[in-house]
Amino acid sequence: MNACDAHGRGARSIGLFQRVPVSGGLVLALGVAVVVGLPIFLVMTSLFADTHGIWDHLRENLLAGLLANTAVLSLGVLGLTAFFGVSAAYLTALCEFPGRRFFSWALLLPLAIPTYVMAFVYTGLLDFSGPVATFLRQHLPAAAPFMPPIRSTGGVILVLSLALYPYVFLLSAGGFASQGERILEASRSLGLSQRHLFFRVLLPMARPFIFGGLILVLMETLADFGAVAVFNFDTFTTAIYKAWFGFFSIDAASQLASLLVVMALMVLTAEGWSRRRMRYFKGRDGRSAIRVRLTGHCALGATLFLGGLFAVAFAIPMIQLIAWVVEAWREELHMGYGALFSHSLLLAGGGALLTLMVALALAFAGRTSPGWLMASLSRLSLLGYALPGTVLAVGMVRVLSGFDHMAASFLGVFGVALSGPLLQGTVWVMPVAYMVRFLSVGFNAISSSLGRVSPSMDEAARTMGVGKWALMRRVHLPLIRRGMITGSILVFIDIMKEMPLTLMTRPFGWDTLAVKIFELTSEGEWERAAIPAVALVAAGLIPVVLLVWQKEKVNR
Amino acid sequence: MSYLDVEAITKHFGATCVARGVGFSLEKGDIGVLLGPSGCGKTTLLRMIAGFESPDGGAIHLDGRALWREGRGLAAEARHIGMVFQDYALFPHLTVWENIAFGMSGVSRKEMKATITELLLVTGLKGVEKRYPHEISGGQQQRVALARAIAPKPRCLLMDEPFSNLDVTLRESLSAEVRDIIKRFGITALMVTHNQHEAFAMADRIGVMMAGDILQWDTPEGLYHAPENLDVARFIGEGSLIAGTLTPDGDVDCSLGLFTGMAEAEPGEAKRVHVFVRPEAVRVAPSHAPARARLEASCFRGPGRSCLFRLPGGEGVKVASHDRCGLTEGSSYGLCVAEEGLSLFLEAGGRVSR
Repeated sequence: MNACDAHGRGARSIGLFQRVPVSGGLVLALGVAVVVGLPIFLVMTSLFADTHGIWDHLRENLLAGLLANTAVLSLGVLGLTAFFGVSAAYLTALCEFPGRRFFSWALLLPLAIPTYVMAFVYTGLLDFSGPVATFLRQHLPAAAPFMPPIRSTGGVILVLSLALYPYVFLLSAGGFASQGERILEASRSLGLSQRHLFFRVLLPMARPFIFGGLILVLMETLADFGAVAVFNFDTFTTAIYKAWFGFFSIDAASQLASLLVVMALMVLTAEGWSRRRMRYFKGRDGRSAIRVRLTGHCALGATLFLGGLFAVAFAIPMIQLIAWVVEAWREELHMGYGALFSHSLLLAGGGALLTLMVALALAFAGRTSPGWLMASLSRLSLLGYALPGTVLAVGMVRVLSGFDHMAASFLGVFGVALSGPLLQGTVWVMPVAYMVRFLSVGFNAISSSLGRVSPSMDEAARTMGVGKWALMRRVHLPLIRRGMITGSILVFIDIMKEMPLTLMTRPFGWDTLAVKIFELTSEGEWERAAIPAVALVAAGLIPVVLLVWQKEKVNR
Repeated sequence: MSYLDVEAITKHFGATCVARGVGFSLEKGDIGVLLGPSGCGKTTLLRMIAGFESPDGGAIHLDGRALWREGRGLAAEARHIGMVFQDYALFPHLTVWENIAFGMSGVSRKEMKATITELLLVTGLKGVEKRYPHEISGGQQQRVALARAIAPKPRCLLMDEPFSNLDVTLRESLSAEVRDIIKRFGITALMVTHNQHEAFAMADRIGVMMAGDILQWDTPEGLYHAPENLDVARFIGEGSLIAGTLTPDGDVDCSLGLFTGMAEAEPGEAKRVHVFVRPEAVRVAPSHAPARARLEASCFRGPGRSCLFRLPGGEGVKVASHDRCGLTEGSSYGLCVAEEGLSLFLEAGGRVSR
């Protein structure tokens, strides 16, 4: 279309003057972005700070080892989760064999077990003094020396992979299933055999999905604190914790954290890239592929393989946990679990509520005032999910101590002296920390259900004389209620399971289930740690069941 | 001032101009249609009347009240304009009854019930009022959207491509039905479509819109038989363009024959003109007719036959033949043209008036 005459342009600039987009939504999004961005920013600035020799000490004695450990751990976990996840996804999505339906959901269950629970169950089970080694020594003394030690690099890799492979499984199963019958028929008509089909069509088409799952695994591995702490396997997260609580150097902790932020941001970039690619590879025709029926040895092999994976990743840890609970039940019951539970529930409830409200506000702000500025603000606000809890803890403490200093000197002008810090180390800041960490979980649930409310519905309501708030109350909130509930449940449970952020920002003596597990496992008290662990796994099963239920509904 | 008055509306999106001084007016109780190819700006114009977009310049009045004037206007929710959306935008969490009742405020319960019952009856939705939108058919959803827009007794009804999500057979029957309903309630309505059959079926007035401008605002008959310029003639219906010469006496000479008194006599030189011929104005005639042409292709159309003839000069002529007797492709026939089916246009595109 041609540009218009000068008269039209003149009229336009007048109109523009009256429509300067000063919207409440934008201001609100800016506020959230500042709350999220400030801790990250402060951690990043310490990358170049001078820290009186501690940093030199760290660099000379620790850094090379930390980097090597992190690299070995990441590569090992990626390799093993790729193997478990992709093979399980291929078998359950595209083959038919006894037990396939069961495995297609049961193999997701390990998502409910936090990595640190998986870690202490297996150290307890396979340690020198554990039941397996004891049994071997008593009944098969010849075989006992050949049992590999669980407290080793291989052990950490295995345990993390067992807890994290479901991410790869879930995403690549979706990738395989979305390819559709047409594309397979087209490949067969072009003369591809079943084996070639796998390597030339199925695998390349599922590649963005597999990659997406692996990136989630990498993110979790870099951020993991609890499991590596159980194994005494030093990575950046444990080094940050030790620098702070061992050397009492928040600066050294920040410097280590800033290196971890760089890594996390690199992974995040890769994630955005892979997600973009996933869109293009989504099959378009509705009919899903007909599964290849496995027979004889193949079918038996598939059932045994997946059965073994399920046993090792879920059944055995659960049985062991329950056995410990039964053992420790009587003497532990009076030990003040009430306080632990109420602390966990209070924090999770408060954090979930705050997260839900901020996510709602952000989602509505994005709907009412769209634009590039809004998009980048909300992207910044959602960064927290890529940040390891240890990093965020360091960042939050820096922000809070800075605030407390400012408050103290400001009040000092008026002659008011503070007896202690205003915010740092109080329980009130913990929901904010959780909100920063888990905002994306709540936001995604809400914005995806809000996205299904078409803009023309808003307009339809407005033509019928319905104002902004009534529109929200009568149309939006009823339509996104499901998303709000799902989002809060997910955030609630994530907070319950969260360990490093809670450990490092809590007020002294304010213990939760996850913190109790950390304390007990660092003393090797597996049986006693089992009781809070079972509670966490039970809570963690809720979102996994929701996920399975949703997946089954789609399949049907 | 007419009931709905749109004056000299301009609108830009960045460097793109979607309305360049558009204006038209609609009398109370009439149904107007904005007809044009996609991207011509007709939907934006509709949305500016509804209040979802702000014009850069111009004015909009409805029933003597300004909706938009001098850079400021009423909010969409204060305009009392009903709208039917392309995707219907029914609320999925409300039943058919609740959807229709959504915009009715300040009405007594009894009155509300009476209005909705009447609407359900008129739109043929009786019996489905307790169902949810996803439980009824596309045609029914369309009628719910219409009923919902009419229920608050709007001062004007806007419809944005209301039939485009329906299949072709349903479209024709439903457009006649929707016109009946609108007329029964005496509502002034404006619809946007790119489909001229829908436009003809619904409209009292049609505006042909192209590139941000209304080329002609007229009755359907006026548009078809007296298009004001070449673009409108080409866009509406079918026809053939033949090169001709307009003599100073007002006679036209072209390869279809000599037509006298086609324009007012005007001293000066002879002018080159385009002669536009509707297919039904041409008849296949005995061979002593003024023009002869070879039948190039013919296609059976049920009521008649659509033929393409090739004149000796190489120009094609479309003819709607109603003869039962067969014509052979490749043979030559005489063509006879009814003068009133011709329109003359200057080289620049403007119409030559008689």
